[in-house]
Amino acid sequence: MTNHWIDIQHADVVMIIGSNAAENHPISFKWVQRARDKGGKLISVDPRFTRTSSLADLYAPIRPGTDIVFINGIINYALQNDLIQKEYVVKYTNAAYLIDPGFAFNDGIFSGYNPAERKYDKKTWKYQLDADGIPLKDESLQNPQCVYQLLKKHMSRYTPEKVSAATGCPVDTFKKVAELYTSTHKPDRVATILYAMGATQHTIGVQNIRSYVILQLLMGNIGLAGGGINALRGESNVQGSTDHAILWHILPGYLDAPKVFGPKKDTDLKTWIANNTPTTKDPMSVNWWQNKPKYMISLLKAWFGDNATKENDFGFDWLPKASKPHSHVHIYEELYAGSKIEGAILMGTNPVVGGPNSMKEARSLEKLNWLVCADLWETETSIFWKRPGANPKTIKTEVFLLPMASSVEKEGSVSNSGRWAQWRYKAQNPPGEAITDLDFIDRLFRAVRKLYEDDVKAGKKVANPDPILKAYWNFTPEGHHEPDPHMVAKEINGFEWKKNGEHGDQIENFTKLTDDGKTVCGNWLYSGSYNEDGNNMARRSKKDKTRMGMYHGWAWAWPMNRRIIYNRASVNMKGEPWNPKKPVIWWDGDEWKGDVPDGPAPAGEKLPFIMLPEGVGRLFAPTLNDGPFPEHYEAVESVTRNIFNSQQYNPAVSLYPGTQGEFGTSARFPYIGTSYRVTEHWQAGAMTRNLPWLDELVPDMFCEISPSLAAKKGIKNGDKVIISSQRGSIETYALVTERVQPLKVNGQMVEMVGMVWHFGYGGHASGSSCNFLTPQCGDPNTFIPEFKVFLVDIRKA
Amino acid sequence: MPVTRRDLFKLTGVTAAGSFLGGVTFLTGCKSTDKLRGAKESTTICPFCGVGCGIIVSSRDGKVINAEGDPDHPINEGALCSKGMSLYQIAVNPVKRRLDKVYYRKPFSEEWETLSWDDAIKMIAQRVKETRDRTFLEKENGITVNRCDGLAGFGGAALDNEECYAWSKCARLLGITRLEHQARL
Amino acid sequence: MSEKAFLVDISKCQGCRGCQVACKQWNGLPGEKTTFFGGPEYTNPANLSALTWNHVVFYPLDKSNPERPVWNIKHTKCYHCAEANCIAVCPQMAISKVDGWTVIDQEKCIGCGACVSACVYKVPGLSEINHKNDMGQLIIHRGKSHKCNACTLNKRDIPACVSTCPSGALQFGHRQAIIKKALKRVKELKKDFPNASVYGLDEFGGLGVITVLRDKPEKYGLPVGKDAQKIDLSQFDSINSIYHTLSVFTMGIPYLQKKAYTVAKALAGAGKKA
Repeated sequence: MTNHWIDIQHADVVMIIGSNAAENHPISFKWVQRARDKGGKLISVDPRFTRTSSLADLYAPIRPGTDIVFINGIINYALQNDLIQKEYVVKYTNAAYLIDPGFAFNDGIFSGYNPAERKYDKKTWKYQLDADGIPLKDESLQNPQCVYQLLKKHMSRYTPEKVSAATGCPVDTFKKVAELYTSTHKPDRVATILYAMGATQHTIGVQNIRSYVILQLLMGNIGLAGGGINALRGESNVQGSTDHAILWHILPGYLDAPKVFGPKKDTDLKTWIANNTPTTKDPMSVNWWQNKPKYMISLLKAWFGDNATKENDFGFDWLPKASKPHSHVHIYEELYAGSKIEGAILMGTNPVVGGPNSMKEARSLEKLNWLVCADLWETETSIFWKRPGANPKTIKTEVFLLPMASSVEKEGSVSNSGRWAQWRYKAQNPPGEAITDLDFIDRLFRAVRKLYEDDVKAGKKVANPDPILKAYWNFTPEGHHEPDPHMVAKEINGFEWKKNGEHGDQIENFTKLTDDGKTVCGNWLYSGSYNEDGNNMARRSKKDKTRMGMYHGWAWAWPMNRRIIYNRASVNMKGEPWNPKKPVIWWDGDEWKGDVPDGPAPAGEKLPFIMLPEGVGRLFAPTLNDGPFPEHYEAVESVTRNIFNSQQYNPAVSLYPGTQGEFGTSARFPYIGTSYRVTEHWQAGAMTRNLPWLDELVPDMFCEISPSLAAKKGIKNGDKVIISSQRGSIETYALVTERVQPLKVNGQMVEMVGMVWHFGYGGHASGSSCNFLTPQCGDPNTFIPEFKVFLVDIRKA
Repeated sequence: MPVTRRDLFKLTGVTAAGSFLGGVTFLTGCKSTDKLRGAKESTTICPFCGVGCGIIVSSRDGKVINAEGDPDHPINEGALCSKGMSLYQIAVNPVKRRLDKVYYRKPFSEEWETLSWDDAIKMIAQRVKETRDRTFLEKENGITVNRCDGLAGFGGAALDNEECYAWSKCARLLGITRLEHQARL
Repeated sequence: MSEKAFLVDISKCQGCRGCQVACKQWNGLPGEKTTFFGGPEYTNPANLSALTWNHVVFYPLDKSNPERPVWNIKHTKCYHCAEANCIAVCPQMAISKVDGWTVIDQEKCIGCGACVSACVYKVPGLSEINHKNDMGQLIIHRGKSHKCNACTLNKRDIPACVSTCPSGALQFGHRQAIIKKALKRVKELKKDFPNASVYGLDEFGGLGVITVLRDKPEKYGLPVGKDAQKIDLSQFDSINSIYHTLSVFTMGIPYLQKKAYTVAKALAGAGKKA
């Protein structure tokens, strides 16, 4: 989230799209309702009439996978009727920037497309520069090569009628949404967008979000109280686990993981810095990422301590470097096809329920020699070897199932969607022999290190032991047997490094980090969370100096305890709030007041979007893999044709070679399948299907279908049904409900089968897994699988 | 080192305003007991979604006896949904499904057996090392890569930040590049 | 009547069912073994029972105004009638008012089921099991009647269901203030829902639960008018007088007391027919 939960109350319009917040983030509705109590309006855009829709002032149904159409339609409405926050758009976005004359868009394809590789060469997706290397602009927005004109032209095809034809949303409803939403282009009216996996789990997922960003920039809503782009995160610490980079492509703090493929190979620290540190010649741009080398070197010091020296690139060589993408599906595809992967360690995750085409993921696990599952519960994944239909006697995999402490049986912090890192305390001991995840990780690393030490001492030949033996690994206080989360938190925050592992003071915040090896910092974003003031994540002060619900003394938010990021966009170049009734920051002539500002420079001296080298928000995004503007493409499996261009699905999506034959056609599977969650269960279910209070509420898997589809198929409410896709079939219950309705799409009525995906064959409450049906294809930028649109058939069991 | 809520009040100067109760009478079938008398309170954050609601956990004799929304918490102001309200059943699981031992399944076996932690760590460390030794690549096409192609790591969205960081660091030190978690799904 | 009351504002309920679990958590009640599904929609369990003292009822989607479909979701529990049928019919006087709330004393309850059949809201239920909470206290007694006691027994300032409600759909306060709030809310709602109404002002002498509805009470299956008045007790008078005569011989043994009630009920019924 750019903003935070409490801030939702300041919105005049809340649009929930690609999210069912009332269902999956129930307490967010405290603040959505607060906004409504103050006269704010709630728009719910969803294929189903959901718990969120039940409280909406305006409900717009759309066919799954047509968010871009819907939002581009609103953008077009705004541009055609000049309902934009002009000053904000001119000064704080790249609307005025002139684009390379070679840039083109034709029938769904942007310039630079290579059909054989299904990839773009982005060389024409760039700004025209002046002699000093600064982008050329036309602040009158008249130049046909300026972003504003290119955007207007691009969006002009998304007329209300075409929006309706593609999405199934009635024209009148669409117009009402467009009218209400664009009312927030006025500086003193603000809208927020709340989204979640309904937006991201598509082969056009990133472009869905892009369309939200463009709309919010045009309305001048980013940086303001009650505004922003707000991704609602589904796990208690999925924000933190992402920040700490349990992902192949990044290191903690969103530093690029070194890689040795593609045009830019990170062969050493110097090339890594050159390849990954953005530069700008614009004196107005802060370009915060110019500090990347300091953050990387401080991270290397945290990982290799005294062994990280200037002479050895601070140990850069010891970091592992990928030679191809390793996203979730890439790894499972590799495993399934046969690879060098022998062993896997799973920390509280259950891909046999949660992964796409999950029965295939279960079969992939059979290729492992050994598997470690650290969990609170026996999960479907940990018993994949005795899953229904499998013969354990033919499965070679050794499995270790390790008992772990729950959240109330250990101490540490978690980061919520609003980037608040909050400390949790221990209330009881874990059951039996269960230990904390930290304890397990620590024991494992030290045991492996011991084996290497012994072998090296004995002169045995081993794989390069240096990354392990040269590591700085110091999480257990002297005289103790267990690692201390406070020591880890202190390393994350960073401290001054003195020789021989001696700690200096805790770093105050990341502005104090250096690139000379004198500072240690595990994750620059969290620098300031545990400094000489103590553990700021544990703070509980209710003082709210801003009276805007920011609570700067409660817990700690990254970065720098800033509660609304890009908050310099909430004021004009003079430092005056666009919306004086709900100020976020303001310049009082000498200093900034209000929230922690995005950079200390006085008003008017710097541009607000400090993380981008341009310093302004991107209506035109030159860096994505599938185009600078969002364009509609159908899902890889779709019930209809694309009416906006002749590309059926995203031309930058490249299907995994191993998935050949795994996609179905609408002739055989005529209905849209989609997946979602319910309040009463959580993710892959292990944490909730073992709790009888929740099993009482939702005891089994079910699908939701419309009365018309039910009538056609002879299905009654509560009947068992069989749902099939090209990947497999499952049996479950049908909930026949008016909340699901067929939509008129391109002249034809289309039906949908919605499924909750929490269930599996294990646990106290078991049920069929929706993900036996979902496909392994994903977004070309993020590789997030397309769980939200696929093709199915349904019949009475 | 659990900090009780009253300690926190002392630390932060917050008074016990709000609606939360203290030692009041617990009665069932008209018999008087006291559910929270003598209980120690500590704060936590809900382990489910990303809203980050505050919860007060009460324990007596080292055992959790109650868990409900923290009325002082500025986000949830005491409220919790059905999942958050069920935290108690994770701590005190009535169907006894919490793992309390290390389980191990031999190749081709049809059942679990149990292991001691010492044996388990020893065995896992050996497997990590053997796999690493077999599949480690120091250089590839003349470039230093120090990558272990035989190991993969998954998961972590429910771990604490400190655990995520340690896991992220540990995996990279072992040479793992195939490291992914729920944020990708 | 209690000087306090609950407010159930269904126009603010999002159906998260925190209330349904909060009650079980605070009172130490077990989860019921349910199947898919109680219905309608997500409602589960389908009915209140000795083990489930409140539940959230999800009504089918109301599309009578196609411009604005309405999904009503309603927290439902004991209404704590001022003139409660259950109190009136109980032969053991096991049900009484505590601080104005209707409370069953399982020490006195013989499990005759009179309250179960007399409650038009189908609130009390006889338990099929004994259940101890995690402190080892027997809180659910096999064969006896149980229901919501407004957290007067496991006492707390604000009932568990209300303190967990995120959206203001459940509130608790002085009855007059709650009524005022309800009337104000209905006035606001009438702009969008002309039939919006307040339920509980007069029913059974006034309810301890004031409900704000988007439509008329009948639409939600709630009794009004004659159906929401204290039960005709003449039948129970004769049952109870026969029962009290017979109960002399039961020596206070609950099983025999229950038998005696069954016999009394049969005899009274026969007398009436005759």
